Amino acid sequence: MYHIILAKEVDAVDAQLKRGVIEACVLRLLSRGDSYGYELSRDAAEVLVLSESTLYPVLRRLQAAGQVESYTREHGGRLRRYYHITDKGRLAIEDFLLEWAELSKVYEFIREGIA
Amino acid sequence: MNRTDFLEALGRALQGMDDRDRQDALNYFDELIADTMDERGVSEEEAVAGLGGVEQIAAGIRQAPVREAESRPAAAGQPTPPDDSPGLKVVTARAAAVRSLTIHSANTRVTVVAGDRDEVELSYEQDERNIYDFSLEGGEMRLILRQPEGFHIMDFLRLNRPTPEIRVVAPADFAASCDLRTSNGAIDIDGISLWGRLRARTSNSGISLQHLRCEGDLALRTSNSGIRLRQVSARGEAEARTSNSRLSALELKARQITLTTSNSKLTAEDLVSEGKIVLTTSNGRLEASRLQSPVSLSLGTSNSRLQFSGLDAPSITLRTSNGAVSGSVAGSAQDYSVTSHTSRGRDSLRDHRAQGSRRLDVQTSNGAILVDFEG
Repeated sequence: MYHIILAKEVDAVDAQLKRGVIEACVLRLLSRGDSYGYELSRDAAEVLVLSESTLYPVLRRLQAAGQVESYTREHGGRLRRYYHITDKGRLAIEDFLLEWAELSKVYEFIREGIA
Repeated sequence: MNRTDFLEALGRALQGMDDRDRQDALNYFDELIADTMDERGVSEEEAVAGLGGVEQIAAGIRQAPVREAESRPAAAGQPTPPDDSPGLKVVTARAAAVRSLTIHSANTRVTVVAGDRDEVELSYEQDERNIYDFSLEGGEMRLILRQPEGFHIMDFLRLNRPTPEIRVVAPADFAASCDLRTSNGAIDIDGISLWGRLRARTSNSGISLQHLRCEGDLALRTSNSGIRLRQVSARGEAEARTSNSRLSALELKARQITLTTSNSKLTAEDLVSEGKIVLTTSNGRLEASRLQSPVSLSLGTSNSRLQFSGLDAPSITLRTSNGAVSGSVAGSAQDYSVTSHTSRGRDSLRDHRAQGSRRLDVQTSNGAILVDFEG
């Protein structure tokens, strides 16, 4: 019984970590300037293993959290949706970095055990 | 598969979803295909093939949070509200259709636990005198106890009966805010990550949160009963208030932390805040270990002792009366400017002469002041 509960908790943590990393990468990309779906997928793919379709729910989540806003502009005769990082989104990047600074201590601890 | 086929297949896979959410997703993928063709110079079919399977994409979209409440029409596939008949009621909605959950009840417990399905399930019991109105509109799920007409002796004879429970099963990763209000019954939440704020209010019963994460503010209020927090983090401010009962927080992280009780013990361990931490009780012991704030720590009680270790903040205020103040703070003695006073008893800070940038202010009466510097 116990190991089942534990496994579930680990899964939840794992999913949360992944979610946090992907969201922070997208925010980081947007902190350079507004961007659109294709460009974000392409740029994110340079640092993450991320299928193009994974990005959509991430962007919706960031919008729901008020960290990203979107607007539509015409481009080459069709409409394109652009995404813009908000101040809240910039704060979220800082939050992320603080959290990971703590994690990196754990990483060091584990690594020392191997060396 | 060309672009039209793909979008039709995706549209079908998203059936049952709110029309606007579905359209938003279809627009996104339409644009993505067009851009992939333009920028990579590939054919429609190649661009579509690069996206992956329709079912997998649809599953991802269904996990995305839904549109803002105000711009969202009533979703298709609405759960049917239970009727007014007495008995156990269970109502279920797709988690993606719920952006906020509001429960207003009385004389019941409210328990929220994580389930493994992408659904929100409410179960509750009603009788002739206690009937609930359920609604799900514009992403807002509400369960409201209808005000009974007139007054009935049965309302006062609940003492012999077990406290009824409203039970919520939500996904562990729940894209919603929660507002839970009851009375004379405990509120328990375990293992949920909320993407919004959490408000929980009851009276004469405890509030217990475990393994909880919320993206917004956390506001907890009860009376005459304890509040217990274990591994809780909030992106926003965390405030917990009770009276005449114990308050304990282990591993709490928030933008700002305010914990208040009275006439009882307050225990805090491993608190991390980006702003102030304020802990207040009265007539009870206050014990604090490993508190971190880049702004200030303020710990106060009365007629009891204040014990602490690992306090780390640029400004630390410790107050009690008729009891000792003892423990240790981060940093060396040179880091601190100190103000201290006790009416009777030893004061280890009395001869402190350093004028460091950190501020330490300690006052009590009829008790010793014994503060060590950890650095």
